[in-house]
Amino acid sequence: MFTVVRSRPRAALAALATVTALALAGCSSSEPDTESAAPASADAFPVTIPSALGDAVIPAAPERVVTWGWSSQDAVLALGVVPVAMPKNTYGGDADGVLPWDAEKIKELGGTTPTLLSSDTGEVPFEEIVEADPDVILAPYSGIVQADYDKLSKIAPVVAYPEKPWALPWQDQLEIIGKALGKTAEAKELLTKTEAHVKDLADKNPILKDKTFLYGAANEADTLNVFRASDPRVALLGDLGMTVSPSVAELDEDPNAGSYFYGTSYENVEKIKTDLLVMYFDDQAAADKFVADPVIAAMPAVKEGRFAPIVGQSFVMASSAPTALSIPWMLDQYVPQLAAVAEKVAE
Amino acid sequence: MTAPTTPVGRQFRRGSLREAGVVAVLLVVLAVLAVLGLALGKASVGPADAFAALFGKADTKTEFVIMELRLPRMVTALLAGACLGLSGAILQSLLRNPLASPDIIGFTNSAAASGVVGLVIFGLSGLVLTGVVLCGTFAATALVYLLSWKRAAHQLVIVGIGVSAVCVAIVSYVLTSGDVRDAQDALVWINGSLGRAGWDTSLTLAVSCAVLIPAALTLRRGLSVLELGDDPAAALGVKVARTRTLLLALSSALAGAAVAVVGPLPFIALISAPIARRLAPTGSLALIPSALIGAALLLASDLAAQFTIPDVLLPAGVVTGVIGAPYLLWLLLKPGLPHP
Amino acid sequence: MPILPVTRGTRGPAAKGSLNPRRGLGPLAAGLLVLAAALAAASVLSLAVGANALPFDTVWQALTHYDPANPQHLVVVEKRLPRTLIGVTAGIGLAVAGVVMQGLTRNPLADPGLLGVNSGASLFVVLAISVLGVPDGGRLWFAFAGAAIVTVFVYGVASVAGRGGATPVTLVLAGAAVTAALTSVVTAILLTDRAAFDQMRFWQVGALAGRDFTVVWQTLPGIAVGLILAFAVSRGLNGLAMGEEVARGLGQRVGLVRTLAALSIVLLCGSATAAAGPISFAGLIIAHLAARVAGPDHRWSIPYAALAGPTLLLFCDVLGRVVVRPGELQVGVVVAAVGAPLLVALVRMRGKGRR
Repeated sequence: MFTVVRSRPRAALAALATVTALALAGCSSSEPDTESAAPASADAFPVTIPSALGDAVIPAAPERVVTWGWSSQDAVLALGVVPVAMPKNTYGGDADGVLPWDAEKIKELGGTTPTLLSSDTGEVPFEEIVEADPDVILAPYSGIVQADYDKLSKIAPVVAYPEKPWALPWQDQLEIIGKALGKTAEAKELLTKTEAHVKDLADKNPILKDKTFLYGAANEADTLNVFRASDPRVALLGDLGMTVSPSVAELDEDPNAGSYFYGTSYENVEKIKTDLLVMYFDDQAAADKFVADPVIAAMPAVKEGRFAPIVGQSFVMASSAPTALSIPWMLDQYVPQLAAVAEKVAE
Repeated sequence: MTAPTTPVGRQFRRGSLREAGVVAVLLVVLAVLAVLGLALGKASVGPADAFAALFGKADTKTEFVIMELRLPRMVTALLAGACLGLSGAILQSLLRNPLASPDIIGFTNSAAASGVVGLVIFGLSGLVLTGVVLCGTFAATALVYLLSWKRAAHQLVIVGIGVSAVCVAIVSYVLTSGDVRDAQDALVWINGSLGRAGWDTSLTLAVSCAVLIPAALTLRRGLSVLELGDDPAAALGVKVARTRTLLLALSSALAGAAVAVVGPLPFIALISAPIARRLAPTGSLALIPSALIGAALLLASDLAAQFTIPDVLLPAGVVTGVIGAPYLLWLLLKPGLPHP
Repeated sequence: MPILPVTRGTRGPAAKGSLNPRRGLGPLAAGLLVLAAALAAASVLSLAVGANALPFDTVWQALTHYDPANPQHLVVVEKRLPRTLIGVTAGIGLAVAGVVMQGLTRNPLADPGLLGVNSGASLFVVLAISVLGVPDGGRLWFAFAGAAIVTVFVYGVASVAGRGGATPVTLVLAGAAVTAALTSVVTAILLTDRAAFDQMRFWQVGALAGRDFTVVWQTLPGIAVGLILAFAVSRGLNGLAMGEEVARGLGQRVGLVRTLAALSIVLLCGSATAAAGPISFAGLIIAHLAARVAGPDHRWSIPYAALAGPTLLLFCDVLGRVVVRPGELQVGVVVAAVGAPLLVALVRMRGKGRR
C-alpha cells in the first residue's frame, strides 16, 4: 500500500530499521498512544550515526538539541523534544519565524520557543549555535559542507545527511533523528502512525482513488515546473490513492536530468491529460494570476474546475518538506479541498 | 602620478619616512579592528575571555569561539583585504587610472560567474571550487588582456566592462536555472562572504600572500617607472611589455586568490589605493598602505555586516558594495581627476 | 576632446543638406526596405518557432481564423503574438534610445544596460515586490520610474565628471558605479526575502516570455512618444555632432534639443525595460551598426535602428528558444552573448596602437 515510500533507498539505515521493526512488531500496534511515554524504552548509548561527512558519536541521550537545515525540528518535536535552537523560517513561519505546526507542537509540549538561528542567507551561524550549548546538532536535511561539518563537530556531535545534501525522505529523517535521540521505537511508531493517518484520509476519501494528477509550480514566466514522480510531495499524493498522470513522463524531455522537477513551456500544457492539477502558490494573488493566463484557463483541468491549488507559504513549506508534523497539518486542511475538486472528475 | 620634480633621492628619503608613519598608523587601526573582531560576536565571549583564549587559558567553548571561529575569520579578512587592496593599487598604477579596479574590469564578475557555475551547476565546494574560481578569473583576465592587446589603457577598461557584462548575464541565467535554495546560496557567495572562513582559507591566503606580496614589492620599481609613461620607461631601461604583463598577472593573481576564497567582494580593490595615496607622500605607489587599508576595510565591513540587520548575517560584500559605490561616484565627480 | 570619435563620418563638418555626400538617398532607402523584410522574417520566425512544434498551417490559421476554443490557436495568439510584439516594441525602444544616447553624448558606448538603467529598474522592482507588495501588474511602473530616475542621475554624474559634458569613459564608469551600489542594496533585500528573490531572479535576467497584451498596451505609448521625439530631434542631433558651437552657429536651440533628446531616452529606455526587464547591449550594437550603415545623419540612423533593433531582439529570442531545448535561454542572456564580442570588436577597431 505504501509502495512509493518503501521503494525509496534508505542507505545504511535499512538494515537497522528492519531489525528494529521486527523487534517492535508486536508492541507498537498494541500501544497506539506512546507519545507521552517516558524514555523508559530509550535506546542504549553511545550510538554512532554515519553520514556522508563523518560519523556522529553521541555519548548519551541528548537533552540540548540544535537543528539545522529544513524540517529536522519537526521530527525532533514530533518525538516530544523541544530543541534549544532551530532555524528561523522567515518563509512560511509566523512573525518570529516559527512554522505553524512547530508552534502548535511546542505549545502542546508546554515548551518555550527555542532560540531561532539566523538562516536567511543559508550560512551556518556558528556563534549562535555555540551559544545554544548543544549536546547534539541535527542537520540530516541540510546543505552543510565538509568544512561546516568539521567546525560544528567541535561544538557537539553532528548528524549530517547520509548521501547527498538536501536529499532525504522524511521517513529516513525521522528514523535518523529517532536514533540520535535514543527514541528509535518512538520514531518507528510515529512513522507508522503518520502513514496510518494518511491511509485513514485515503480511506475516508475514496473519491481520490486512482485519480490521476500532475503536481506543478509556476514561478517562472510561461513555464510550468512539473515535479517528477520520485519527488516526496508527489509520493505523498500517491499515498492518498492517486496515481501520477502519464503526461508527467510524456512531457519529460530529459528524464535523466537528476533534478526533482523539470520545466515545460505553457505552449505544451494543451498536451497535459490529468484528472487533477495540483499546484502550489505563495498567495491567492499568484494562484489567480496563474489561472488568468488564457492558455492555462483553456486547459481542460482548469476549465472544468479540476484544479486544486495549495495556497500559502506555510502550505508550500509543508508540501516542500513533508514531515510527521507537517503532513497531518497540511493534509487535514488540504484533502477535503482536493476531494471536493475530485468530485468534478467525470467518470 | 606626476614625475618627481625635486631631486629624487631626497624626496625618496623624506617620502619613505612619511610612508613608514602612515604604515604605523594603519597598523594601529588594524590592531584596534582586530581586537573588536575578536571581542564581538553572537556568542557571549567577552574581551577578557578572548585574550585568555589566545593564550590557551580559557574553557573549551571560549577557546573554540576564539581559535576556531573569530581568529581564522579575522585572519582571512585581513589577508583577503590586503590582497584586494594591493591588486587594485597595482592595477591603478599600471593603467594610470584611479578608476581601474578588478571590480570594473571584470576580474570579480568573472570570478562570480565561474563560482556560481561551479556551485549551482556542478555542486562544487571547498578547495575544488576555489580552484575553479581561480581558473575562471585567470581565463577572463587573459581574455581581457589579449583582446585589448596593443590598445590604450582605457580600452582595456572598456573591454573589461564588456567581459564583465557577459559574466553578469551568465550569473543571472544560472540563478534562474536552479532551485531557489541553490540560487540563494549562490547569491550569498557572489556577494563575497566570510561566513565559511576557517584556518583552511587563512592558510590558502597566507601562502598566496607569501608568494605574491614579495613579488609585487620586487616589481615596485618597474611599476613606478612605468607610471612615467611607456617611452620614458623604455628610455630608463625597463622592458615595458614584459613588466606590464607580469604586473597584470600579479594583480590578477592577488584578486583571484582573495575572490576564490571569500567570493567577489566588491570595491575593496577600487577604493583602497586612492585612500592610501592620499595618505602617503606624493609620488609614492603606496603599495603597502593600500594593502593595509584593504585589510582594514574588509575587517570593518565584515563586522558591520554581522550586526547591521538583527538576525540576518549579511555577506560582507553587501556592505563593501554599499559604501564603495558612492566613493566611486565621488571619485568621478571630484575635480582634478586625471582624465583617462 | 572626446576620447573615442563618435562615428567615422563626423570627423569633418559635412555638407549642410546631406551629411553623407558619398551615398545617395536611393541605397539608403533600399537598405530600409531590406531591414523591413528582415524584421518581417524575424517576426514570422518568432510566431512559428516554439516549444510546441505547431505546423505552420496552424499558426497561419490562428492568425487569420482565430478560434479561442482551440488551444493551439491560443498558444499562437496569446503567447507568441504578445511575445513578438514586445520584442518589437522593446527592440525599438532600446535601439532608438541607443542612437539618441550616442548622439546626445557623442559616445559610441552609450547603452541603457551599461549605464546603470537596469539596476535602477531592478531596485524599484524589488522594492515594489518585497517592501510594498505591489502585485504583478503594477511592477511595470516601478521599473519605468527606476529606469528613468537612474538614466537622469547617471547622465548628470557623468556630465559633471566629464567637465563640459559626459565623456564615454565617465558615462560607462558612472553607470558601473551606480550599478554596483544599487545591486548591493538589491542583494541585501533579496537575501532577507526568499519569496521576493524567487520572483526577482526571473525578472532580472531580461526576457520576452510571460508578458501579455496588457504589457504591450501599457508600454506602447511611451515607445511611440519616445520615437516621435527622437525623429523630432534628429536634425538637432546632427547639429550637436558637429559640436555645440557649430550647432549654435547654425541657429539651433541646443538646450531644447538636449532636453527633448533626454526625454526621448527616458521614455524609450524606461518603457523597454519595463516591458522586457534588463537587457544590455542591444542598444549599443544597433546604434553602432546603424551609424556604420546609415551614416551619421540621424534622420536615417534612427529609422534604421527602429527596424534593426526589433529584428535583433526577435532573432536572439528565437535563438534562445532553440539552443537549450527543452529549456529556454532568456533573450537578455543571448543578447549579451552576441553583444559582448561586438563591443570588443568596436573597441579594437578604434585607436589602434594608442598605448
